[in-house]
Amino acid sequence: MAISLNVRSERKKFGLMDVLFALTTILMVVNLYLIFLWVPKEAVQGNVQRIFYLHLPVAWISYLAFFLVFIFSALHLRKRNGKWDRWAHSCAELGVVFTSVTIVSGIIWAKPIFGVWWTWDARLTTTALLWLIYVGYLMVGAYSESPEKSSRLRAAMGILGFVVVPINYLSVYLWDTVHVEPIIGGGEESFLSSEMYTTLMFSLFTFTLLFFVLLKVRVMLRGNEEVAAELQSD
Amino acid sequence: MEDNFGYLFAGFAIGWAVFMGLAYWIYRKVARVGQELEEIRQNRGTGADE
Repeated sequence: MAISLNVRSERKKFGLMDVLFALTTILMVVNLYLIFLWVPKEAVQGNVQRIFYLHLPVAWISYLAFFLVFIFSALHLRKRNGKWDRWAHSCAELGVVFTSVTIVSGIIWAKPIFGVWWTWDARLTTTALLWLIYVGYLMVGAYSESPEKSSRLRAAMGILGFVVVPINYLSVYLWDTVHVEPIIGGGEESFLSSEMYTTLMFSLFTFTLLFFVLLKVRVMLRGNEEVAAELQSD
Repeated sequence: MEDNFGYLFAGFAIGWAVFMGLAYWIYRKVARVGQELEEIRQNRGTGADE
């Protein structure tokens, strides 16, 4: 069967995604400027504290990603629509990437501050557990017999796995841990100077934007894979 | 230590621009392939490619 590829309709020159790509690039360069050159050095920890402006936003994004996995998985189980599985699966992939960055940046921060690269305390252990659960989530899809079955298994795992997220967040309150308590909104002693707060919020916004841009591209790619597989099986 | 931060910033900024350039290139490719796949599917639906 011959397939014609000569139908090339007029394509939009620039759309919303192009604008978002440009915006994310510019905002991240500004973010780097704020982190490296603008925000003052922290009095106690010194320059190594600058990792905080990367560590906290990526940790927040991984929570957001896993929350979205939970929502999209529930929608998939309820509506049995492959679209939701596509979104959940893509969120999980990005969640694993961002959790990996959280762990690595935390390790780099921990060595000069706590004197160890890693310790099996509650926050670090539950973070490692979270990472393993969502790596498992991604593996379920790779090993199941049918796409339908694997999407249902993934959805169940996406819902059950989310239980670890609040445990991970609350671990610094529930157990003795070397990890610091939340810097903002964590009680009377949690505060930041205005420059630090501005840099943190800017970084949070930029990384959130980056997450959604990457998510959209990954969902588009997954959609293409499914259409290609469907065309191949015809 | 402070003196190195200008270089660090420049290094990260360049690395970042390269990363986003690659990501954008992938995005354009994915969008184009997606459109072509959709056209193939539509052609099959109407029997235009047989």
